[in-house]
Amino acid sequence: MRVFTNNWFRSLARVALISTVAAAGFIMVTADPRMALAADKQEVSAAVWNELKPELFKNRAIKLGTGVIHIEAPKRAQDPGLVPIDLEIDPGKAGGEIATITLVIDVNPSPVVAVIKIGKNSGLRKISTRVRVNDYSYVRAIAETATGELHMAETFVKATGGCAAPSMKNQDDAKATMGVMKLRQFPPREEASASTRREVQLMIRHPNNSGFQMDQVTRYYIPAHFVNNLKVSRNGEMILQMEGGISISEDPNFRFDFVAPSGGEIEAEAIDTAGTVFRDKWPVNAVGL
Amino acid sequence: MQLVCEMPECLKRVALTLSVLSILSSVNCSAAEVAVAEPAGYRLDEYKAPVPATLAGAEVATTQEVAALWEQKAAIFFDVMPRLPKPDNLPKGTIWRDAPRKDIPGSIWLANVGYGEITKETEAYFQAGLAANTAGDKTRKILIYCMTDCWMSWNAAKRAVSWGYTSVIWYPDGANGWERAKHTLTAAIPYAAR
Repeated sequence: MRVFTNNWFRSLARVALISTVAAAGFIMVTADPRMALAADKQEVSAAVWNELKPELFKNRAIKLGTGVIHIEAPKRAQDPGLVPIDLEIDPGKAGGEIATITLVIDVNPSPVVAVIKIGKNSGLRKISTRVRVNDYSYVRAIAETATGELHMAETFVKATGGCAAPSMKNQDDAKATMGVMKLRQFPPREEASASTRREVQLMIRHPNNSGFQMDQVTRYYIPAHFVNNLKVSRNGEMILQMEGGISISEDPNFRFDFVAPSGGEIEAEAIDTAGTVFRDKWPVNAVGL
Repeated sequence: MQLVCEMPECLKRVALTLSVLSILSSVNCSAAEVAVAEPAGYRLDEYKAPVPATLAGAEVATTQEVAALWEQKAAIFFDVMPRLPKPDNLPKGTIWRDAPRKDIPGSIWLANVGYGEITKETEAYFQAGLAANTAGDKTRKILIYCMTDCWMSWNAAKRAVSWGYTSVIWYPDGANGWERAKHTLTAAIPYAAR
């Protein structure tokens, strides 16, 4: 109901604005407390990061804007419990291969979203996932090279309440399918060779309970229960390994690329905080499938 | 959902302002000119949304009135801002940071008592918190707030009324209304019941 009301308001606002841009424009610019709010929240986020940084990286220098890592996220999230994040790395601009990416959401109660180790010969350049954002915050990705250089990319996301957002599924249904994995393979753009770049999407059914979601019937918090370790490899050789926290969204989902010839198998192993191990494997598709 | 509500507030104001041809009136994002009716029961979800102007059985106070009560120490202040509890089964080494909260100096912070439905433990915590800080006197003036456009304080004040507190004051503008009026906020920690 509220959505309709707001859409109505929005279209009304749009009409009003278009017809009186000159009159209203300065009011928007000079009197919008929301802009001040966003600026305040950027300051809060930056202050949190200043405290977090030494905890994560001691006093090591972190370079910003080197192009080694790039982050993409919506400026304003449609669903704070499901915010898409795209990361891209360009090791050519760094002094060596990227060994790990640390994903951080400053103001989340558990700010380290994930630490992703990248397989040495995987050729991984892109990885996307979906996260929970609890309040207006910078989302940062810090790439560490094998030689110990740190490169950071950051983007500010406006969202609130993602960590406590109720699950979209019935918890019993979620338990019944927990651990089921699917791998979607996107057809490579080029002829198969030893260096064919492939893109896949790994989907894991798991409620990934943050510990802040309330049971809608009992009103007690559902205990935290999430995939905290994920390993994906090809023929036993690691493509990526992730240690994740409560900020990874329900039904963890990772889309990434790697370089490999046809043949062999992709293996995935996920372990959740209850110690349950989920495994699956899929043949690497031949080109054109 | 609250995002959808939050985003176009200013546009709404502008649109409405223009539609009644009073462009010169100030654009104020905290006042709700769309009247919200009091529900019969508690608000059960979408807490961050415009609130009613009234609460049956309680008084509603403006920032100016609250400032007077605060200066005269004429009421006991209860902050009911929610806080995410640290889950007790996080993997070892997980970095944890409680969201910082600043509230009106001298307030007692009773976290999470403003949900529409609360567990018996939370209810006991709320009752004990009120009783201990009013010396068991239900006629004492108590003031309940959280933040602007948040139903948690409305729910909590309604709950206090239902328990027989006879001088409940609800302060809908909350800590950020207080801050907007240039009053000081101080760092808070949740009240621990004995």
